[in-house]
Amino acid sequence: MEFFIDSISLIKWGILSGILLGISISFTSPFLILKRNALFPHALTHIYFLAVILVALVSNKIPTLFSFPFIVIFTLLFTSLIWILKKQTKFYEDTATSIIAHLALGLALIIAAKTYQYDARILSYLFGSLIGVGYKDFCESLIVFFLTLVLFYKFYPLWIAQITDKELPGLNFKLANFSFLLLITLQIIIGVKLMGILLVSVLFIFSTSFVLQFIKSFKLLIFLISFLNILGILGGSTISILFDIPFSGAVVIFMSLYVFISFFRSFLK
Amino acid sequence: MNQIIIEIRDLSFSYEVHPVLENINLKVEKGDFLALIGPNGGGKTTLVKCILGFLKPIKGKVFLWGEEIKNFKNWHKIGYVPQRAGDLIDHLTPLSLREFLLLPFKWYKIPLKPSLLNELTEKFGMKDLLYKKISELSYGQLQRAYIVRALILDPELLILDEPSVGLDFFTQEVFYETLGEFHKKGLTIILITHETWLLTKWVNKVACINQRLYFHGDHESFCVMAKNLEFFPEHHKIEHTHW
Repeated sequence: MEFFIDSISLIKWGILSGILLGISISFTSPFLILKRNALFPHALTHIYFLAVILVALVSNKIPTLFSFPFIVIFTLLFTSLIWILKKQTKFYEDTATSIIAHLALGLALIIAAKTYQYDARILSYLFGSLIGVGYKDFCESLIVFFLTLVLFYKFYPLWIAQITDKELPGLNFKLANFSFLLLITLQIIIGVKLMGILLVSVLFIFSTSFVLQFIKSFKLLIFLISFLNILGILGGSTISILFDIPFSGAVVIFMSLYVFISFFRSFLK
Repeated sequence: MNQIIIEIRDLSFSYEVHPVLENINLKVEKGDFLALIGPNGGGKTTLVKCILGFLKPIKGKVFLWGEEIKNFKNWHKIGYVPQRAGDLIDHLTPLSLREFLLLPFKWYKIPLKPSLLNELTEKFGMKDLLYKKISELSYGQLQRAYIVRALILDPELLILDEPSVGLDFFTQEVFYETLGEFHKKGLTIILITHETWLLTKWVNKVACINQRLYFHGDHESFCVMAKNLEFFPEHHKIEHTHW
């Protein structure tokens, strides 16, 4: 028990960041899944990884203060290549997303290998680390959380519009779409520290797809996804401490329960 | 002369190099119930999309209530039901019918009129479905839901793109009868349709489009003209046995 409490005090900022992130993601993830873009966060992590490698390359030349905005802006710009490619070539959106994501990852690996960054740090980016999350990261999660609330309140009718309608007279979706992309990018950046590049998109998909199976009203949707995301973070932390396994893997295992319940629910129907 | 709601001047549109609309000039007056007819690929939906600002014409202008479309602000005056609207709803869409019907108030930031919601849902037989998940509605119910939603802001102009596709004959009759009632109350309606039987019953103006505007006038003149003239090129002849 003492060991458990000691462990908790070590990872408290990580857990608090995870809770805030779990709530923030519940405001955006339903729209990703309903637009059949569930793999988009995963693609963003690849682009984010390239941005991180580039920042590491010039870390001794630019002040640390500029790293975060650089990563955000670079990720947004590189992501916009998806829509440029889609428009020019008439590829489906998921095809263009896949191409750009793999391009980013390929470039990142080449730059990492050629600049001697191909070391243990890459592992922490790939799988995340609960202990590595500190007070500064918690503050960033808090900012992203409040930004999510503000942008959701302002734009959610337009986000819903894109699920129920292809076009609507007089409505301009550009700012709403940009805000959505910005939020997903920020949530990914926060999430990668906790869950790693390979597993952060779990927070976007597992709870949301489970809740969408049975929810009948939009009002309850976000509340339930938040609750299940928080449960996943807490459950994952507990499993991680008790069985001494990586946090991100533990969260995935815990949240797989939701998918199993979905499966058996539909099976029993 | 009635107030002009829509004025289209010399409008041309093409998808890449393929011309779809050429030099369209058309006026829709307040109180018109206009049927937009023509063969598949004739440009009817494209014309509506130009009117609503979804597509930018390569030439010409569209005016709504006398204002050029790029300056037009009162979009809540227009209700729109897209083609095959019922197909747009995914089986996971987490909205009740009530939430779905109230969306336009959030989009256009207009205060809610609960009495209109009651009236419309009653008229279209949807009152008992308000708290049902929208994706659990049948195709016909979904079509009606989109029509109710288009009317929920009490628009002055209603644009419907083949709204009765997928509805059975009886539901179609009820639907057009209700539409006729709204028209009598002063609603201007533009209806894209292939169902020519409608023309005799509800519509008072007809526009025939096949890349160009071949006819625009009242229903009676259209019936006379249709019997004597060929509006469209040989391969796009319209059948006028129903008129």
